[in-house]
Amino acid sequence: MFKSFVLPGKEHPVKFDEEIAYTETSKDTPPVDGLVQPAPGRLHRLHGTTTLGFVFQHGVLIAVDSRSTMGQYISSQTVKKVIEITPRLLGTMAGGAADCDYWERRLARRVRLRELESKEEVTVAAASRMLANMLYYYKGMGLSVGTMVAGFDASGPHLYYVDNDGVRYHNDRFSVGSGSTYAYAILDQEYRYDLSVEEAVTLGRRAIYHATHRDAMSGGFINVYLMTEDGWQRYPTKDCYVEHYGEEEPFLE
Amino acid sequence: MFLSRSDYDRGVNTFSPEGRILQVEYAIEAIKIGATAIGIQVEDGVVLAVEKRISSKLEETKIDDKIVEIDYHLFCTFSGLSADARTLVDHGRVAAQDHRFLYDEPVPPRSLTQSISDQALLFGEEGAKRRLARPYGVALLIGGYDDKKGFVLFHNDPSGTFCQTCARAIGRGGDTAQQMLTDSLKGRLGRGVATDEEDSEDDDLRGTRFRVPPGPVTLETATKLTVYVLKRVMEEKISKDNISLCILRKKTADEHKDAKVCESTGERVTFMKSDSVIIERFDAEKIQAIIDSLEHGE
Amino acid sequence: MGEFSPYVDNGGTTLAIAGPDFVVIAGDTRLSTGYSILSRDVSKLFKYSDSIVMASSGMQADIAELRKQLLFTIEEYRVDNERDIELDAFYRLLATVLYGKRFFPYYSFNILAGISKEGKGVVYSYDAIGSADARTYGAAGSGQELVISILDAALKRKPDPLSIDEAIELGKSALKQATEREIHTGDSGEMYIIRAGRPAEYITFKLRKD
Repeated sequence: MFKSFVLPGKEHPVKFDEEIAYTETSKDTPPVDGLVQPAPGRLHRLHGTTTLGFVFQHGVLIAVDSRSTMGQYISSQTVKKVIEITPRLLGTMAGGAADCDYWERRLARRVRLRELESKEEVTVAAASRMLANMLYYYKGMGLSVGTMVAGFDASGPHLYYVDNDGVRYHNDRFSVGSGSTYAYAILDQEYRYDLSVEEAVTLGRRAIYHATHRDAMSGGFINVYLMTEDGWQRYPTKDCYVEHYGEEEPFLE
Repeated sequence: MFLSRSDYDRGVNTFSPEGRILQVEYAIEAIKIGATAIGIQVEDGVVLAVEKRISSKLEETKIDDKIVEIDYHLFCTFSGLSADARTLVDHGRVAAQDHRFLYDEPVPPRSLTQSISDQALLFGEEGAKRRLARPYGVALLIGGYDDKKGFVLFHNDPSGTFCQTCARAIGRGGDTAQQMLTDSLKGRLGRGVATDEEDSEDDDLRGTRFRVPPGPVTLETATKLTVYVLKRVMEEKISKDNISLCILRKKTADEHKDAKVCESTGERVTFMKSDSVIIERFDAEKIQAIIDSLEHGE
Repeated sequence: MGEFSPYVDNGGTTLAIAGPDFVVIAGDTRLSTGYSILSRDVSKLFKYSDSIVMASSGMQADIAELRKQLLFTIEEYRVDNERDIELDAFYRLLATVLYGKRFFPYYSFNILAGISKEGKGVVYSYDAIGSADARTYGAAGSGQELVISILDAALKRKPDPLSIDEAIELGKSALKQATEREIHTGDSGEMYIIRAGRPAEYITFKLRKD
């Protein structure tokens, strides 16, 4: 198992990661008096991303886009940015794709082992704390994770925000990613606790659609998940093209 | 079994002149004074049943930890020292989750059993990986589902040996119970299926043989058979409180729903992809019903 | 203090195209550093089984090490589990092996092609540290941007199902077009044609050597 990670021999790992992953197209400032030559290309797949989640009377609703970028290149339009941890726990993905994916899978493993040992469901509070602790251990090492942990436990629906600083907040709504400000504009305007399921699904899709319209780093398709007492359910994927034009995108040729 | 103690039975590092590791054999003896446990594997599932000894009237009997889940598709019972079993089960759970983490698929039951047996052999006086200085005093029955081979049942013991089997009894009543299982299932399960002599020795076996209805042995029959055998080998009178019973079976269509239509939006929604099998724990009423049905049947 | 420069880009282009019950995966065989061509016959494809082929571009030394790690792990898998690894499991394994070097990544960009449990052709496209997603076609390497545009034009929202001959021709043609406009791609092309329940077929074709 991969319980530890290979670190470059003589260099400071944080500095190394910053400098090696630097590219002219990334928005980071170039490394000054670099000890390390930047890699001759883009190493990490990053998500410009818009993700959002909110708690309402029927549970938690999660909506995300599906674009993934490496610099200016769109490396995928069909990324799954919701990670299915257990039937009653979901995580979202913003920042480094591999970082989110890996650490939320590690979380799934730990949650499952704890549930087997204690014969009790792990609460959303506990699961999000486990993730925050794992990320805190690697704080400053260059991980890029901005995630929402959504779940339903004995005390009801919950939504937490966790990131690579080890931060963990509890609230009734969050939006994460480069398009989050646009999504918040719609979300804050129309959010109510007593939304119906249909209204909530529509609001989630609308907020993501508007964010993909304004934020160049977000786009592709819109995925929606609803977390209820019976576990999560995934709603049909919507194409941003269809959301905008109201018709299917034609074949290119 | 051994008439006199020898100098060779103190350490686990030394063979006796007869070529034995006596501590391992003593550990196997620890199982023979443990609770009786039975496992049967048939085409459509696996059943595990075990005797629960209650030492005091004040003991809480609702806590059921004699048959434990290792993963969604793996469960296990044991005879011998239950604390040792817990150590091995913990190891098995981690191995099962590591496999899911690394390969995104359920661990094949055989390699999980292999992994537990490897752990069972890691005893001795030195070394960081060694958890115990003595052999584990426990034998396990591990039932599981393999997406290539179907339902399977494994047995492992303190020597680190494991084998696949269709029906196995271990513990205090293990020898008698095993004989009863063999008599009842001869020609019906495992090698030698479809021999025609199933009824020929009926008279000799009266009383120790459970009448298995013709056709393939069902999980329901196997479940009854485990209770039937336990009833005969247990020292105490069998009751709903002093046995545990679990089965592993395919999910029914209702349990295996992967999509539905959302009432509010009318859209088709999907759920988490889950394993095709489920572990079902029998509660006291269900166990009582089986005990009753056996009494009426006789 | 000397500069630590652990990576070189050896260039080259790879691609894969999946159909209903097949998948083709191809790459060129040029190996270069900067403006020098070091070899004209280094394979970017690696066959792990009749239903799993991986195409890697990036730094040749890192790719060789990655292949060795994977071979070791799948042999261990075969012995432990008494079965050959399937595409779905290999997909996750590769992601985890790549992430194991999160803080000193393999400089390799991989495409995995194969037949899934359901008998469908699948392509997985990875970044250097193991983020991957399933798709119906993908490209990687120095000619990625050129090739992906050709594949997008031919395949995105294609109304009729793709035939295997179309996929083979499209793959060859896309590599030829990348050779035309990209200096690190060329010399010769190779391709695996993977079909459900059949041994993978291997073909080579000519590319410009200039």
